[in-house]
Amino acid sequence: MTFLGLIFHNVAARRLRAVLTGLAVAIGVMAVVALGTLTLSLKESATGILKVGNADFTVAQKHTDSLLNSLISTDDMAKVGKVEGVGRSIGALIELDTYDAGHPGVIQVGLDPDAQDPFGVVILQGRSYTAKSDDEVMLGYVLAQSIHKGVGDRLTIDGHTYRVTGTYRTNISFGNSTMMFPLPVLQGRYQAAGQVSLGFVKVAPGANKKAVAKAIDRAFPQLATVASESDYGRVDNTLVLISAANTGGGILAAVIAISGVLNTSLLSFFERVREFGVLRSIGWSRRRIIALVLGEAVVVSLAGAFVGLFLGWGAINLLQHQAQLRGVFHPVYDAGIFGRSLYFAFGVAFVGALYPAVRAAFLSPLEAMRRE
Amino acid sequence: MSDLLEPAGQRTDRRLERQRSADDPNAITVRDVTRRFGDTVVLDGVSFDVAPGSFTAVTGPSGSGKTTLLHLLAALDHPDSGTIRVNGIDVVHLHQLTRYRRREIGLVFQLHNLVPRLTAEQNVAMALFDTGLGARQRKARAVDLLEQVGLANRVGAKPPTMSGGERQRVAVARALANGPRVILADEPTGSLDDDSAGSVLDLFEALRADEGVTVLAVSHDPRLNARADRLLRLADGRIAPVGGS
Repeated sequence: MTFLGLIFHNVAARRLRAVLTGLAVAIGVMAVVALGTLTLSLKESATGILKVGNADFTVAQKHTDSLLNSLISTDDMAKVGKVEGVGRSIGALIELDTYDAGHPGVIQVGLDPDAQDPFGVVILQGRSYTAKSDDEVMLGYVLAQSIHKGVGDRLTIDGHTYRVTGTYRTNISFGNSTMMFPLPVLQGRYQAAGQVSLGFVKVAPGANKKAVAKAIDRAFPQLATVASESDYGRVDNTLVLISAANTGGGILAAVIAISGVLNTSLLSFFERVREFGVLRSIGWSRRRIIALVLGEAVVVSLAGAFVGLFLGWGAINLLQHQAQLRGVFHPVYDAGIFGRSLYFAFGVAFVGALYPAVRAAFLSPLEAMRRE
Repeated sequence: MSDLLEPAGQRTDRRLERQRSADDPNAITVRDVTRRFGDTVVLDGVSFDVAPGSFTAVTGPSGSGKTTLLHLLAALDHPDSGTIRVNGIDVVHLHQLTRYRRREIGLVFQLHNLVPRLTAEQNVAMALFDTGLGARQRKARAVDLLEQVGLANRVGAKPPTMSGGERQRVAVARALANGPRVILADEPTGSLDDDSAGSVLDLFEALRADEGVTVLAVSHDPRLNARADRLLRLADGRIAPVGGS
């Protein structure tokens, strides 16, 4: 029998306990995978807005708690458009509202019709709304399918009824779950006349993007330019909070899993004190006994991690269909999350089983063999 | 009983070899060994020698210190004073205790102490980890040893399905796994019926006669004492020869 075979043999000899411990690890891994994927996906959705219309960078109000709360005057946006090196600037108002119980958080975009093309909007069916109409709306094709509306249908939101003039897609996935209004219509509904949420800037050919962004930062101290995910925190604290929640959830999951492994390893240790004493008396080294106990924990944890990956995948699918996340949560599966799950399983096994392993290794063989 | 002491492929332990003195002709040398537990003196200046290839029984009433003596010889415990040499190795001052237990001695317990969830072959092979042998070599060695102790047909049996004598013979095979020159046995026949005890004692006799293995057993059992070629009696923490050479 190989040493690895002995480890498997010992695990198999206590199947029920191994299954229960594996389950604790599986729940931990599930939490790591689900929270990690949720965080990553929400980050992708949030930062996806930076890629709208292939803008080089976005302009937003500095230090808001959420990008959706950013407000920039259209006058400032006009001035941004005149900064040297700026090729094009588009302002858009973005608001969140409830459509129905199944769609409690629909993103509404206020945008001038002539800004749709640079914004990356491609009309799939029907036509665009007109700039001055106050009862027309366009739907992202995913939202249109979800609320079962098409061109010519009417829909009511926030007490106002609109006729669907067309459906569209954008170059970012969550944009396909939005609805789009003429800018003045949305400004009127949200008492935001003369204001937009975000500005999207494309620099002129040959201009240096960083230099242009710095020039805007200098000229407009109340605004911040966001060119990458790392800049995002300048205008939105949400990602920081999401990441913190992910870290907190991961730590909680680790504590649960470590408790499970520690409990099982300690029980196993107390049951096998005599056995460890015999092994020491027939010449087993302390190192080998530590390897045996840790190895058993690693095998159980890895099996739990494997199950946890599937549970995590199932949890993500459940989350995806939650009304509150519809439209903003598009799962992004990252190999790193699965790698972290394996690290998690190894870490949980090591931390959970280290104390029992060391105790087993440093038992006095004589005292151990006297135990009944 | 061929090849019992030649586990092929096993590495020589150089650290242990450096501790060995060639000046001591005895298999076991005990000098002025004292062991106290609190105020109780269990062994009081015990001295004796055991010649290589002998079968020695240590007897005495309960609490006379027989098992304590065995534990000291097996380096499972330390004396308060005195010296103990086994195969020329100073056990009292030795740092490589694990290596000593693995390479120099074989331990047989009264309650056999086998792992119940492992087969007889796996129990024996357990003693062969850390010896440089591969899994196949360990298995072959374990099967060979079980054949030598008359358990060829019980290789795959687990201890709970075996008789007391069979379990004790598995324990002897495990003790022999690393080819020790000294077997230390604690009441090896105490819980066995006559047939089983006879088979274990036959085994010890064969080891002594065919392989030159030194056997030292502590025992109350008159069946064992009758088969030993030397009997030492412990009483009041002191040892006195009561017969034999």
